[in-house]
Amino acid sequence: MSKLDSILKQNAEIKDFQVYDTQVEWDLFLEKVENSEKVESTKTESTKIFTFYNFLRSVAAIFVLVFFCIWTLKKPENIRNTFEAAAGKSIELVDGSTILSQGATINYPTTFAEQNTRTIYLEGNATFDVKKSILPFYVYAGKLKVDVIGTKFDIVQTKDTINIENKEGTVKVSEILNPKNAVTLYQGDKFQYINGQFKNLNAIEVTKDTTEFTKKPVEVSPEPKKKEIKETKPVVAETGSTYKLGSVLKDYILKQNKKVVKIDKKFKYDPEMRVKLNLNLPYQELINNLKNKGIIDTQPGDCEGCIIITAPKSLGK
Amino acid sequence: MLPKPFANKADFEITFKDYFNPLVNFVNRYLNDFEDSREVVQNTFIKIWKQKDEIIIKTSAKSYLYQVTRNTMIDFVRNQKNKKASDLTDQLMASIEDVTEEQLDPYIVRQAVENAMKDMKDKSKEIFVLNKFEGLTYEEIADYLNISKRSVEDNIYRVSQQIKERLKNHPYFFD
Repeated sequence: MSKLDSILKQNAEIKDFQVYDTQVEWDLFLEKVENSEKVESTKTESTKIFTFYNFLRSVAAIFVLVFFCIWTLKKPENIRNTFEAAAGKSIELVDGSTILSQGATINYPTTFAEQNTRTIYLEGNATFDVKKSILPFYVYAGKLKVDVIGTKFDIVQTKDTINIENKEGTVKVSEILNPKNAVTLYQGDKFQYINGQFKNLNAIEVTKDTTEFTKKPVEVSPEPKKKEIKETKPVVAETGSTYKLGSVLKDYILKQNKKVVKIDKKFKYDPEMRVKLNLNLPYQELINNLKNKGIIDTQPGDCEGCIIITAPKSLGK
Repeated sequence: MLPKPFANKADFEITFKDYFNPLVNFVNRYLNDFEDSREVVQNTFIKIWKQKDEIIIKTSAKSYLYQVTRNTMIDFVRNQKNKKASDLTDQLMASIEDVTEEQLDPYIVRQAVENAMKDMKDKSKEIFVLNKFEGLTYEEIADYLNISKRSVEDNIYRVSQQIKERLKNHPYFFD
């Protein structure tokens, strides 16, 4: 084994290694240090200086904001178009992607030169057929941002809801103002965004009852995801409903318990596989349930109470 | 080249930037929350900053940083314990008290490797990371990424060479 390999082997136990921008962290550090030093100096002096700096900062911020507004308003003039179309009309982007209106207003770039993304703003309903490219493809629809990793999907918007059906590939949808509130749609998945929450339309086999959601205010709070899952419980609890394994593992178990649950990358499960579960149960019981059915197995993780979901023993790996 | 620790702002900045990520990830191994870990490491450096004119470090910068970080982590966990009684906190405290300085080393190594890989293309990096850090075989990677096994081999060889080249003078590796 080479020297590099033996060094890396020692490293093998580190799973998630996050790399923060050290310049940003350093700036944050200096800010904290400077703030605490200011507090320690005499009150009247620091109050005066602080007020003056505050004033200067506000003025600077206003200039930056005005400049930025002018700059961003100027920029798209030449490269973006808005297309208002009745159902049946379609536009083709320069990369060959097509957007078929089902009654929509579509704002799109006319060129991808010097762009970092392919970004579309959508009002109304449309069907997307997105060509694979290095540039990520985003659709902003109402309060949501759709991150297209796949190819074909539909967006249908009403006053209160946004429905997304993914026909091919993979699509990630998140709330613009709260990106942590997100779902991933695999092929065939259909989700509805209503009152700040995502509802999996594939999974629900009881009659759609949205009265459970109407009272919940749309909040951006530290733990919106946990509240979400409590709200959806009443709808799915009545039946031990059938769900896609991919949704159960990624959207329920993994996403709600990111700190303690991980999925072994070597574990190749079929996300389309249907499993009958009561999602009302705590995640540990869901995991045990899946284990008993022979669908998964588990290993202890690195930390106390951590679990890694792996392939079931019967597969021999 | 290991930096002089904390003498002046410029040196402090170098030390901060060199050790920030390894320390955050090291702390995260225990706290299992990156935001909390960032807070602990920021507080560690703030503590050191406030004493920087009085510090006389008899051990290395790394040892000193390790000690202050460990103490800050313990304070943090104790603080959490006061807010919510839980068995988890007791177990966590026990594992932190058992920690040794050597356990920080792999994180420093990993940071050096990440730095060496910084300018590489995401795909090349991913292949390398999947094999070296996540333990997937060449076949598994080829399958997962839908590329040939030969591409995987070539990629890993190329990235290894580049890393070796960039780490040539790093004291940790080639002392």
